[in-house]
Amino acid sequence: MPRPSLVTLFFPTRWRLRHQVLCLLIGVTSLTMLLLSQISSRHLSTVASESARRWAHGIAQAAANSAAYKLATRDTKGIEVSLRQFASLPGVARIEALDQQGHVLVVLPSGPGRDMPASDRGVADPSALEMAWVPVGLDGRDGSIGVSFSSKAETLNLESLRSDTMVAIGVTGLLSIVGASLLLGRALAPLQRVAGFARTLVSQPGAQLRTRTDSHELRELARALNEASMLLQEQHAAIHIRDQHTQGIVDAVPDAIIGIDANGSILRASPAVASIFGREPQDLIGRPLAELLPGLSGDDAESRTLAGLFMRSSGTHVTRFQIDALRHGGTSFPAEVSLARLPPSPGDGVDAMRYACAVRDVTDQRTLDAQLNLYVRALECSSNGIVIADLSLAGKPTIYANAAFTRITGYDTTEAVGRNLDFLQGEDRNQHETALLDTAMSQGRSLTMIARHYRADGSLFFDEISIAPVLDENGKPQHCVCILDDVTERERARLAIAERNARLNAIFDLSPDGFVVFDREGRLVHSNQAFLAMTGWSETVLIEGLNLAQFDQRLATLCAPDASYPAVRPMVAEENRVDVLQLVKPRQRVLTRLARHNAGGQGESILYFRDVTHETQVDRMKSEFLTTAAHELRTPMVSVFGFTELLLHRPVSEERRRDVLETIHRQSSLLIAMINDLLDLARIESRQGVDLQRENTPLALLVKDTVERMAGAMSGHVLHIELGCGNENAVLWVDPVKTSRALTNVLSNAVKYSSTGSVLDISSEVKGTLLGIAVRDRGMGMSAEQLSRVFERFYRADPSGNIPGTGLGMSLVKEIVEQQDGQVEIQSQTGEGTIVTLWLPLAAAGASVDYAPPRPIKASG
Amino acid sequence: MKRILIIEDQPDIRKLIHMTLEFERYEIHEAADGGLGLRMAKALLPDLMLLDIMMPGELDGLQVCRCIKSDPDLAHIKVVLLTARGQATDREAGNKVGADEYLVKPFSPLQLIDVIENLIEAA
Repeated sequence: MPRPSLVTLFFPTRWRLRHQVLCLLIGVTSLTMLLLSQISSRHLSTVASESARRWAHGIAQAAANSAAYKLATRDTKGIEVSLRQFASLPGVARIEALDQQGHVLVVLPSGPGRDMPASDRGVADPSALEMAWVPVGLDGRDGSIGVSFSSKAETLNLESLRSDTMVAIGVTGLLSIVGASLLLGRALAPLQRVAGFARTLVSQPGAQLRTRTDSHELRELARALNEASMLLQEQHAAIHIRDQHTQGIVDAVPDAIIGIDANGSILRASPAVASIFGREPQDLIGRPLAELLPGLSGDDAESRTLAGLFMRSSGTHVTRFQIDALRHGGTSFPAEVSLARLPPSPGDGVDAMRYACAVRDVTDQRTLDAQLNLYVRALECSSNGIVIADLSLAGKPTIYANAAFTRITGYDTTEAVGRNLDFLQGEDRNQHETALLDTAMSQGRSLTMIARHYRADGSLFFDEISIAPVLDENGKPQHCVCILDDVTERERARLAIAERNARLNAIFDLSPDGFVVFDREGRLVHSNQAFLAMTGWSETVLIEGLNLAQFDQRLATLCAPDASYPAVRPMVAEENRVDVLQLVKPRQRVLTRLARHNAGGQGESILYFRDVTHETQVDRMKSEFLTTAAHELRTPMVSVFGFTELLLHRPVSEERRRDVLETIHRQSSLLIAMINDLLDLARIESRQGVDLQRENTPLALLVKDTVERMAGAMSGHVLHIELGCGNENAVLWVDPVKTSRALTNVLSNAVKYSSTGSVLDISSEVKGTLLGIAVRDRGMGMSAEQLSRVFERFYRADPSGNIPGTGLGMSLVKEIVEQQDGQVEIQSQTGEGTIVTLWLPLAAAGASVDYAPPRPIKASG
Repeated sequence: MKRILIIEDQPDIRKLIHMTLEFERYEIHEAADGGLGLRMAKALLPDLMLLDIMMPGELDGLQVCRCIKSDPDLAHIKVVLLTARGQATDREAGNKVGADEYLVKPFSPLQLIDVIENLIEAA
């Protein structure tokens, strides 16, 4: 409150201007009159006193003049008479005549009781008396006359004059005041009209004041006011519009906006209150806020807001918090409250708005948050690595990576964020799949692929990446979600399966055994080449979709009519029965068949065919061989056993005994040779060429060495060795010892089966990479039937026993030659002789000779 | 004199049998293969035949035996099969063709004499 100034204390400015002016006039007039009276009074006394002094002096002078003589003469009477005339003069109070010694001679009036008008008496005081002494005679030698002159009369005159003046001034002042008042009243009337207009401006903005013949200043004022009024109207309208806007905004805001006073009572409420709290806004006016927001009182609002943010520009304190709000009916819901404390203004009452409060129902948001939270947690919990890349940024950096990403790759999330995911490829950049990935990303397609990625420790893993672009509203890929899965194990398993499949396919394709697969419906869906080869069927059998019965029927036509065809029973899974099929078409075959119902898989049936023709033959041959071998071994034993028993039990002549012993010896020798041959054959067969020690062996040396070593067995045969032109220096790639053995067997047969003294030829011939050593005899020869059996074990062209032999020699020759990639060729005619040719491989050209014969070769005929 | 026919491809074995039986009172004939042996049997009508099973030629021992035993004129001839095959199936095969005795090589000459004597005496 401004301190009242001195002016306002004595001059109340609150008064009307007219009153102020009047008051001022009255004051000024009064003051002027007061001052005037004071000044004139003082001046009056001075003038009166001066005038009295002059009068006293004049009268004294005149009295002295008139009484000079008498005084000189001391004529008291005379003096008295002279003086009396002066003493009667008005105003003269006393006349005294003093002699030169100062003795009073005459005093007039003579006594104190002098006759004076009553009115004068009151005034007559010594101060009003002017005393004038005039010396008489030269330097007062004759005495002096003193006159006391009373200025009273003078003063009274002047007083009267002054009173008149004062009255005149007072009247003038009064008139001026009245005039001024009238003038002011007239002058201020338009002003008041203007003031009245100004007062109505508030209620009627835009009203115009009509100016009449007012003063210039008023017209100015009116114009200014009119302008202000227009302005006010515009502003009013603007404010009104703004108010409407604000109200519209407030109404439109989904948040409930509530105005509260200092006590926490609701002053205003926006319509959204109805939807949020289920209560009509007008019902809430005057209700405590705590009904809506339990626990939020006025004090609480005060403390909360003051602890909140201070907005310097508006002077408000703002706070924001979440609270459980109460809906109509008593259900509570989570709400977010924005509470602002408005700065209090001075004239505010308790019911002025103090707080503005915006309440938002965050139930949905909570739910959304919870859902979002759930999603984020779900992402984090996922066992797959999940990465989100921002495609709008250069380099398509990762903006999110979950925990599983770290677990899979070993890279921390912070290491991944900001980098393109392809950093996982390490140095292994040229991966075909990544190009696909880029294409798919730019086209906004999804893609799943497997890339080779490297962990933080550098170890490789197969990463199955599924990318799904996240499109923006324009359909442009904005983000990309990549799901990573470490499929190393799966990939390894897949590769292993693929490898296994390829292997199995290769096996099936290469397999000499036939496979036929029937599907669950019993249709033939697959068969391999081996089966087609066995049956001679074409591949169209696969397209025909034969069922089992048709298959059986067709297969039965291939079988021998006398052998019953066993039908397939594929549905019996447990049974592991092997059926034997005797095929006669397309050629004689023996097949075994195994049916397997794959119950665990797709319910397929698999037939497995095995061509056991050869095995059957081999089995039979082996069995025959054993029987034959036993028989062949027992036969010499008959002689050994029987003859020795006879020798033991019977007396025999010396000559006979010798013959018997020779027989025993011969048969024993045969037994030994047979056993040796059998062992050799068994070893050569079982070792399958492993024992062979092949070296570069000159043909000439081999032949000569062999011939020389069996020279003793030649019984007078003539041997011609003619290796042929250019073949003397031929070098063979053979095992020299075993080849020599084979050649020995051939030569031995030639000797045994030809008559003594006949000619044997050894020649050679080159055919391609093979060299044939031909041994020709001119002996008994063989028939075609004998020729076909010549390589059979124990087969003897001469079964009589006259020609010693085990029946194994040619079997050995065949084994030795064939195991060295050669062939045995026999041409024979009964009675004309036989040519046996051993075709053996030549050594590579320019090969050095390894073979050193055990002893020097002698010329042999 | 009882007549014995030996059909055997091995000369040493023929010699052994011959030598084994030389002190007995037997008339001994020999043949080197089945065909010849059968013809000789028909001609000689021996009391007993010693027949090797495994022989080269058109007829083996079993076939010869079957011919003998299926021929009413020859069926009375006692047949002793001589064989290197001593398994049950082989003996069965011998019984099937009606052989009277089955000797597995190598046989004991003394045992052969016993077998022959028993058969001839039983006849």
